[in-house]
Amino acid sequence: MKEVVKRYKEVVALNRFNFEINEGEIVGLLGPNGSGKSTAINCLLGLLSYDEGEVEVFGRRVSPDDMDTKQRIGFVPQDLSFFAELSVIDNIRYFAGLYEQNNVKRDEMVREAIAFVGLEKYTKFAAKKLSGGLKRRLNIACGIAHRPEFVMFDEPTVAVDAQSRNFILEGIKEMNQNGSTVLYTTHYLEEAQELCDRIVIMDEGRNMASGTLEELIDLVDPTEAVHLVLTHPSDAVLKLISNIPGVVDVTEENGKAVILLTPPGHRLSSLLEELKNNEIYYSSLYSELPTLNDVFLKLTGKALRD
Amino acid sequence: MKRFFSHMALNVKMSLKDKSTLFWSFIYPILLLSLMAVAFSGIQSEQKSIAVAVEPGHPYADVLRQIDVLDVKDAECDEALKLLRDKDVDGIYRADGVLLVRGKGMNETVLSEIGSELKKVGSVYASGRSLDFTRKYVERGDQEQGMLYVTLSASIGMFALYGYFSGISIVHHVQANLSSLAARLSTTPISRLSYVSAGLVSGVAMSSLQTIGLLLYLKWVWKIDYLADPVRTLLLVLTASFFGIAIGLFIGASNRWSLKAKVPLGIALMLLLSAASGMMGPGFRLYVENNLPWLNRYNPVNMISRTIYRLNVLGSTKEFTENILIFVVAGLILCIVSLIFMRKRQFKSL
Repeated sequence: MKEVVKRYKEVVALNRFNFEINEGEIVGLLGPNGSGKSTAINCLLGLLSYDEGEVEVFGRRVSPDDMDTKQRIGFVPQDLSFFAELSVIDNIRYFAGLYEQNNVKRDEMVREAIAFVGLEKYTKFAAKKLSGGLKRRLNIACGIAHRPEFVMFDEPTVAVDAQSRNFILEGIKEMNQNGSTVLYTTHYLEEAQELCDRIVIMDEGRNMASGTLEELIDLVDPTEAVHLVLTHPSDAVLKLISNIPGVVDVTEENGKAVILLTPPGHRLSSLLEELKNNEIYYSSLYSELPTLNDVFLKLTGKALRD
Repeated sequence: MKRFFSHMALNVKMSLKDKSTLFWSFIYPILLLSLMAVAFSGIQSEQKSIAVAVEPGHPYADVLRQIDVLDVKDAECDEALKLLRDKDVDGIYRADGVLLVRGKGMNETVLSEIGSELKKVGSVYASGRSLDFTRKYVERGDQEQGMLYVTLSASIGMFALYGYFSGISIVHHVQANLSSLAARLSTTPISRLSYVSAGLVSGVAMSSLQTIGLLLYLKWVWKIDYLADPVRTLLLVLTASFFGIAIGLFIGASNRWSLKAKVPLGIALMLLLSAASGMMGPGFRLYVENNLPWLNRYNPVNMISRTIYRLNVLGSTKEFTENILIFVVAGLILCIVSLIFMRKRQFKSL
């Protein structure tokens, strides 16, 4: 997507949005609700028109009539979108049949998809009778049964229990290992961190930053926060701590000190050594590495879940 | 072609597995018609002929006596007026050809229709040709059928158009800006023409099956034969079902209202047209026919009910071909316009 602008009357949903995904990648579109993630996906799918810019999939301009491209892509929408009255197997069979006319091949795809989402025990169940998590799995099966080269997931884990969520994320990784390129939108930063090779941070329709997790964290002058409960807190102790190499800031309240270290992930052991050498005692300690939320906060001035 | 059958199978399966569809399509019509049959069959059996006084010298006195629906009392002017005042008769055919009636009820309308008919065909009658005035009257006004037939025919007309609901459902499966399922299907290599055609064929089949089932039920259980002319009746039912689905496609595709708006709209429209056709009793129908005759001429419910009644009760094919053609042509136009609305395109919003 190049310089794509999409307006809904006065609201600019995509504001000169740039984005690309390479073959074999899992790329996450991360942003809060209303940041333009679904709009971007709908433009990629040829469902939405846009006001400016270019959108290409497989090097071809997106068009609602482009059946060849449609044959190669898969889509798992945020809303549950299948035939509620039909059984699990009838739904998957129908969707797979839209891509594959050979019944033998189609049925093989259906079996694979059912196994993939772990719905073997529920094939004869009416879709409407499944639990929320199982419906999500069916929603995914309908979108991936035809083994798409490029598959787009639009917040597939919204309102899903932890077990189903893990199942879904593991499945997506496996799909990627089997050759599918994956675009994954979410507002859960943990999912983006766990799943994606590359992350695009979106806010107000713009691409704020993109890269690997490490690249994104490096963008924002990151620090590691070490929380200590000091046995004998005092100004002298805090001064000693502030002189330890790598410590950029120390604050203390009610005996609890927060030490900011840089670069993150490399200084903790030397900090502990220095605390020991300086006879600074503490009753507990934990460390917080920087997260995408910190990155998001720095880039947009607000937390991801605001 | 394979996908066409796959879409058809999908539609049929969905209809058969949806309990609410099954109820409203098959059970509810049977319940309603049974209720009507119970409620009105008593009235029908007790229905009396219309008492009317005929003054000596009325030019068609002999003809009036031949009409089964009339109970003719020969009376002089004063005696006739007394009968009318005492409510022993509903009207007087005076010697000068004028019809005198008490009010504006159904019987008075029937008398008026007969009077008009006699005047219209008077010259032909004078020429000596044999005429069946009863048949002629019934074919024109349909009033004689009584409440049972009026309400049953109108209800059948309404149920024959139930394909409307299939029509809007089809659109909400393929037009991306109407439902998330449609948006999803629009990202697949689905052929809209194939999907809509399959939905149309399965919808016509289901809707026709429902109407024919209803007619068989009336015939076998209530001994009311609306299948005396089965071939023409089937053709009428098929074309009416097609027209019903075409209306649904058009209403479904021409705007962005939700299903929650389109379904009640269809129900309201059908009830109104059915009421105009006499489903709620003959009063409203008479009012419409007297004041808005064009409405009932092209009211699809009335077209179906009128034709089905004529075919099977009167043995008349009057308006049959015309009505079939209207349903087919109008249905085709609605389908084409709907397909234009449903063409593949990118939407400004979903």
